[in-house]
Amino acid sequence: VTLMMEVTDRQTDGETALRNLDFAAHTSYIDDHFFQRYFIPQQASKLAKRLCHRLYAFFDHDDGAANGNSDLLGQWTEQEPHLVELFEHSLRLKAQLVVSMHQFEAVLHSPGSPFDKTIMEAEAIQGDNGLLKSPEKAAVRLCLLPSIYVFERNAKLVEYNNFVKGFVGKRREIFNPTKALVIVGPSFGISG
Amino acid sequence: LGTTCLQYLDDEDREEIQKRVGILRILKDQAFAKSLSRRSRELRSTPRKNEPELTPDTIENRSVVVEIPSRRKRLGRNRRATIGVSEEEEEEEESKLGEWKGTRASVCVVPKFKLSIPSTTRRLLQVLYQLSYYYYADSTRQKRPKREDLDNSLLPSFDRRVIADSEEALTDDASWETPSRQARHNDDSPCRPHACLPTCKCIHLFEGNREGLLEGDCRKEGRPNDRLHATKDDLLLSRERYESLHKQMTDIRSKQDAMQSGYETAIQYYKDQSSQYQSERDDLKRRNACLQYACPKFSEGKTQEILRHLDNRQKVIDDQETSLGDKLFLRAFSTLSSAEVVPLDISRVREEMADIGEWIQQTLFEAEDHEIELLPRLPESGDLRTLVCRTFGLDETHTDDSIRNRIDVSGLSVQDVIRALTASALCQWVFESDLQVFPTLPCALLEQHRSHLATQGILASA
Repeated sequence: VTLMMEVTDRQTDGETALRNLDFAAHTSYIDDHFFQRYFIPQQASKLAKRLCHRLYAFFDHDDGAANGNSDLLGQWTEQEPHLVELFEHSLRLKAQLVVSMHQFEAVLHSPGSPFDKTIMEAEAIQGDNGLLKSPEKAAVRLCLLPSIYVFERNAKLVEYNNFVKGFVGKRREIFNPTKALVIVGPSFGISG
Repeated sequence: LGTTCLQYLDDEDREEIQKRVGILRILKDQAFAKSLSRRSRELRSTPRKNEPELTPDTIENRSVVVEIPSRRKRLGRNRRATIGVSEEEEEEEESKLGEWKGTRASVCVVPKFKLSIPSTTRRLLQVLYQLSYYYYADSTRQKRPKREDLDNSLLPSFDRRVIADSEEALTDDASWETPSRQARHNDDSPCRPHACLPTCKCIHLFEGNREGLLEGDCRKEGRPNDRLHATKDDLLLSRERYESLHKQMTDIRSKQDAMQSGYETAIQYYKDQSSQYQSERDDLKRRNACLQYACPKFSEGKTQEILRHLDNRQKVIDDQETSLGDKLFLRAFSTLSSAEVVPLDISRVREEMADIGEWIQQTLFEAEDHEIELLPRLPESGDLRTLVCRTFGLDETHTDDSIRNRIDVSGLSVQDVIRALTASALCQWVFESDLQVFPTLPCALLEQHRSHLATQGILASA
């Protein structure tokens, strides 16, 4: 019989104690200098390289043109340090949310969705700023920043992926701490 | 009181005072009905002219009104028994007064003690003063003056004083008639109230005179009556003097409080200073100890030994800092058996998302004016196809042509599409991934715990 079995079986609060110990240990690990200064930058660098490589196709067509401007290819290549910073912030937020007892969802609003100023912040296409003054006529063209939804959940241990995708089950105590950043356009004629 | 003092009275006065004291005792007598009937029989057996029977009605006519609570408050607990009512009897009397509802006893709520006395009791007043004085001397355990002093000097002066006070009281209440001189000495005159004597005033007069007598200076300063007149103003001004003293005392207390507060602040300041100096002294002591240890070593050329020692000490300090850091990290879960849910730091989430939004907005800023051109063909699978489909809200199972037909990039720049794809990558690769950032579990105990949960079906994957 392991120590854990004794704790969980003989004590009424054994599972709670182990859950708290699990969260405390992971919190300590995440806040550790090694994790913050070495591990996250390393992972961010990997993800930035991966994104640069995947989107390279947009700037290096087979016909040799990069969306009409060959300079964009060089500019995109120089974006890698910038993307590393971006992924570092994202990983730190992810690590912080991992040691939370809640459940989350990152929502990217699809093109064509009606604009809702309570959960979105708008960025108009150039020359179309009038839509910002009458948001009821606007619709989402592209979503540039997801909004984070939080659900109440009493986690029994740390889950490394506590984000749900397209969650359709019964949600409890939903609240939306952040707004999505979207590009809006006219609500008519948008395919999606 | 009666048994003590009645021996000094003649028969007539004794009979009169017994009757009057009997009236007072009625109010506190537990067997009131019996006493009343007995006294009625006694009075009938020795009838006197115009002397009504003692009944609640006749008592009301005689206006014998005693208000107990006010008197108690005014005289204090040590002086309350001036007219011969003990503390216990007085409380009992209060409870019995309820039996007098509908009679004069209901007047007992008036906030002043008054004893209204018929005009024929001039002598009785003197006797009452005697009684009160004797009682007061007894209650205060002071030396009782000789009866000759009372008869020869005290009583006449009190007599005049009482008459003066009576007349003064009458001016305050026009319904009371001033008795004629003849009526004052005529026992057979009709029972009509004429004097209202606040007991507290009597007490003041007695007190002042008693103190003078006890000091033995009454002969030096003249007759007690003169001294009473001389001290009348002092007695009347005592209230003002009291208020003045009270105000001065309040000012002194407020000043004292202010000074006390200032002293406490100063004391706290000096305590803090002392604590700071103490810590500095301890620090200097440690440094001094280090120097005392290091100087001989340096003089002996043992530099390497000192450096090694310092390295070891630094390691110990690092370990302690690490332990302290662990304790800080564990503080959120201070009790392992706590079932409370650790609150989510919403503000930190908002700050991080705001930073991420700024970084995304700055991505490929130079390409904001370049219109996007769709790729000639999308890969059949892989990250790029997933990112594109998620960005434009499409299903990956659709064909390449179907996807291309559904995507509308008119008016969008290269920067817009790249930023949207980056946001999609954040969701796909960071937020919604397992993110293998924990290469090993923190401890074997938790690993066992996770395995146990997996066997119970609580954890999806072991």
